[in-house]
Amino acid sequence: MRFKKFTPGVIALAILIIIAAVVLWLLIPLHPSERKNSLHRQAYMTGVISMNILWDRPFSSIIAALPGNSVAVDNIPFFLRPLVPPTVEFYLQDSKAGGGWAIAADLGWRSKIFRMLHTVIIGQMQYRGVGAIEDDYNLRTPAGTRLLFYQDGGTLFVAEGENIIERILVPDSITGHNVDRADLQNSVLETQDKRVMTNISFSNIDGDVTKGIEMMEGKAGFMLFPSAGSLIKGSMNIRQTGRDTIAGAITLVVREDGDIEGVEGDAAYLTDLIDRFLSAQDMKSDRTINRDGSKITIQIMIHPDGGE
Amino acid sequence: MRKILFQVVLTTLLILGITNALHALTFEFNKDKPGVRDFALKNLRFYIERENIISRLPATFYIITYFPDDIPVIAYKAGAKDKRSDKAQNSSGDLLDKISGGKDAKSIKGAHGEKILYNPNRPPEKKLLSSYASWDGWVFIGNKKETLHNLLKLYKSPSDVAKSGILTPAFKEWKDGGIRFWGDNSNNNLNNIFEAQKKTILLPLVKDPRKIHSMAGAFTLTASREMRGKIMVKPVNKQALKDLEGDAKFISETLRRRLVAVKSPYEGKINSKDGYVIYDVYIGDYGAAQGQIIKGK
Repeated sequence: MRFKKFTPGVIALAILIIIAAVVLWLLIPLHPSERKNSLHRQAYMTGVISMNILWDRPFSSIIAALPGNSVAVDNIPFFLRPLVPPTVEFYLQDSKAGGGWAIAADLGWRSKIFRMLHTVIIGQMQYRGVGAIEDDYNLRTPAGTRLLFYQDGGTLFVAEGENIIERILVPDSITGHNVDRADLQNSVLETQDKRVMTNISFSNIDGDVTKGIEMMEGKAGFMLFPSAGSLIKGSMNIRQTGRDTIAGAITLVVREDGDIEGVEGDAAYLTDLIDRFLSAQDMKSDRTINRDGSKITIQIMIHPDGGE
Repeated sequence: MRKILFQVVLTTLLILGITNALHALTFEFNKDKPGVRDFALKNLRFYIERENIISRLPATFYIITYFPDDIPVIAYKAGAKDKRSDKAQNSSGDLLDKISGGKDAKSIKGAHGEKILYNPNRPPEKKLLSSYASWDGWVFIGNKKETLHNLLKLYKSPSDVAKSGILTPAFKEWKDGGIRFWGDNSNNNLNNIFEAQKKTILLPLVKDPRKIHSMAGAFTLTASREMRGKIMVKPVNKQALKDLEGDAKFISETLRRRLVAVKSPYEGKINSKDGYVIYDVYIGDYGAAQGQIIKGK
């Protein structure tokens, strides 16, 4: 017998090599999908969020102070945390383009693992009441809307809204209203700076941000940003500066005929809310608001350790 | 959410108030004044066997908060008349029996020799009305017998409950107010109350309550649910005045944003005068945005 020529050690080594090869193959990332490249074009708001902030200091201190955070963060077991993509991008599509939202995450070395687990994950989504499975990629939510859970190459898409789902599944399906906002939105998604925790940009050309804020105000019964209609665009950037300090910069651009005083007042009120929320958690914050022409810039420094 | 928000704001408004060494934050309600009966019945919820006992109290009664970990104490002068409720007086004994458990009631002796009766079958952690004390014609009702015992120790005589203390405001609302309140920060009393609030609310309306020396305020109401009031806050020093003015502006703006959302008229004016922060407020329809103020089960 030829097998007799192989000692158990050699056989074990061969098995190990095979396992290592399979693991290596499994970890080779698939190419990120190009389908997401068209999503920002009709989005009135886009952003990129670093997921590590959920459990890395100093931002985790702030998240820990939020009500209900335990549901969002603590329910992810520590051994599953490496499977969470490092960043996710989100897109809110404007109402003229059919509305809806999408989240895209480049999975990197996780892409083949996610592909293997696709059926399990979508089954879990149904089990947990997210929606009923319609086919391999689609669920129907209890509200009757279509929810997409789809992986193309190394990119995972989750989306709600017929139009935006079609845009992901059939990238050439862009029809009708087609305001290209690449200039406003694309740069937000291209940051490579690892200290950036969140980068968000919005356009209010068609009043979608105003509608969103008005909807929130209606639900809360509270005027959060009544001057939102005066905004034309804006952005927010949150990054870590130093070991334990977070810096936030918000830029708001007001329309030519907009109420700049109102926007400045609303911005001051909202930063006061943030400051008071943080002070209740024994965190210190400093803020400045500057006006330059039609642009209002708000700088916030947060010291989760109270600035010590 | 909106109820909680308004509750917090209104509570703080009513909390912004003055006193001497009584060490307690006291609210005075006069049900004979316009709008107060309706306001008190809807917003003060102290139940015994599913009945809100506010309707049984005399026209003038007091709600005293001293120990943040317990429900407030109700105080009134027994025998005082509520013009619109004979039931109040006729069934006062019955009410107190229900609170203390009647025949099951046990008692301890207070610091002035008064008797504090309590219901041993009602666990204090449930924060129910379960004890009361009668002292020289006054009645004090609360949850823990210890709370009543410690509170009554602070008074030389029971009528001290009705004394407003260091600051007796001269403004018109103080004389006419159907709801008045006063408190001070001796023994860190106000600070403790505000700090306790921080555990239950996301946004502290007063960032550093230690900066308050004392405060007082009064509100006049109308049957059509208008509320007009004035609040006077004495800071501990000049720097504190500036900070408290900022807090008052934030409170005013928060109220305005809430009231605009529910289409209620609102006017708020904050100024500093003679070392005090003074907040004038007018709410066209407090009911439009109202939550409860103090809850007792």
